Amino acid sequence: MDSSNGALAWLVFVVLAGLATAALPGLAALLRRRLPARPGTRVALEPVTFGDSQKLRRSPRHAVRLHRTLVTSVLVCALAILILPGVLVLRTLGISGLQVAIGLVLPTFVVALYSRRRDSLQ
Amino acid sequence: MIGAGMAIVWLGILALALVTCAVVERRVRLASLHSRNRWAPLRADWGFDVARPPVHSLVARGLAGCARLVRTRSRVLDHSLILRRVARIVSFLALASGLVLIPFAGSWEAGESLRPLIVVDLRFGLIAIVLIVLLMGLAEVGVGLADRNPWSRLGSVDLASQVLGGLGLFILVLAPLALGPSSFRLHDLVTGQQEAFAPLFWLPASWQGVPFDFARGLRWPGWNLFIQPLTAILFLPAMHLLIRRPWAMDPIAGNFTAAGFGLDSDPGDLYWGRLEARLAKVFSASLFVTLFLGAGGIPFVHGSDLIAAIAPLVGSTLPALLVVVLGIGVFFVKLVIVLLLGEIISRRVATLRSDQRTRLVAYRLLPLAWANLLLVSAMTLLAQPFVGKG
Repeated sequence: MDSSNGALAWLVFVVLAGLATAALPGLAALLRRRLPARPGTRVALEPVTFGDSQKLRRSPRHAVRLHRTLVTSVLVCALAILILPGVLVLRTLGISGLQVAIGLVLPTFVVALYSRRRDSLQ
Repeated sequence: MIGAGMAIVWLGILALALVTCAVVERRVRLASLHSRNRWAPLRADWGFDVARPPVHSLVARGLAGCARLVRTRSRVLDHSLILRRVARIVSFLALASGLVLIPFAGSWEAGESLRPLIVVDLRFGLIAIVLIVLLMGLAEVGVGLADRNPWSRLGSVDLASQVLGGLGLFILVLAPLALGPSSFRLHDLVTGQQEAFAPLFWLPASWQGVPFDFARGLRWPGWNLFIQPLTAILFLPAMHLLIRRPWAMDPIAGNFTAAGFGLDSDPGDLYWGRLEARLAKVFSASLFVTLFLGAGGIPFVHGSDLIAAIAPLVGSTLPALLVVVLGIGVFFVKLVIVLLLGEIISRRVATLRSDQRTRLVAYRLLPLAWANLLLVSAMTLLAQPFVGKG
């Protein structure tokens, strides 16, 4: 299947799916306009709160924990994203891909080890 | 034009799958409530209520939902409507783009050539799915950030960390699948699962006797579920992390949490949120069927054999069409089974806190996924020299 056919099929799917999912809210909006209440106006509401004190508004301990979680996840994700090209290289080059990888990784590893040693000596 | 026709067929199947998903969710939820005896809440006759959830009837609940949609919509003063709408549109486009990549109908086998019947057939479909899933998750973070209260923002941070952690696991889970067929195309992954394999072929030839001969000759479907069972098991938590939405009031699961979004949602928002969650669930189930259950393939039955058997009577076009319809039916049955099992499992597993979830992923599941990847890579590399010699 060439790219133009694929793009057309994607467009057909998106448009039809959009129409299908918006049909019910659209019908509801049509019915709402027929009701005696003023159409197009929304009831303004105050946001939900659980009290006014600082402690009730936010929990710093929970936020710190979430922030730590987020940073960990970003690091893990960045590491994992390297896997996909690695797999492709391994498939195309076979065993020699490992040799190339070692050739790239080993100098970086040695430099990192040396810098850690230098830090500890200082 | 075939792609456009496939898009219409796929949309019909998805509509059926969405209804099935709603039925399965409700049935499994009620089944688990019966076993809780006095902890089971009272049933309301009509509508959604925190204290008394709605009744069994799907039609009654659907009608009540439609009636709520007609009511005058509310507007919370400090919410960003634009951000929410843009995030919903991005989420919808990402979901639709992911769904069109699923090879649900097998191949057209009339004549000599095999033509894959997919709405959009991408060469790097697996990588596209990774990016699409990331986009889906981040769009939902945007939906959460549109509610400008601290609880919703905490829920958004929770979701962002969950999506990123889940994505890392997801990539590590998908990588071994691409090793076997050495392709990122989803149709190739499905085609690679159609042949049967002998799981106990390695038994030494010196072990003679009927049981050993039987074990050696045993054939299983070549689905990735049997060839890479650990990958299939790891796929479930990865997808759960990617499609879980931290709602403050989850009407599907019946959970209530403080740090989540949708606290002030009106029925319109609830409709879009629930639709997105169910579509994401159907997407993940169909991805599982594609990657691990051989899509619409029937074990030990080849479509070409069926066509060859019937072709002398009615020509090759009608049997090829029948095989395609049969494949779509089998795909749908597998999809329903996966949805049912997924719902039962998610009911049985305890809900974790965000830090517990991250710890589980970082210290248990990710090392396991790394080990699985290394194991599959080593097996593939070891098997390579013997391929030509067989």
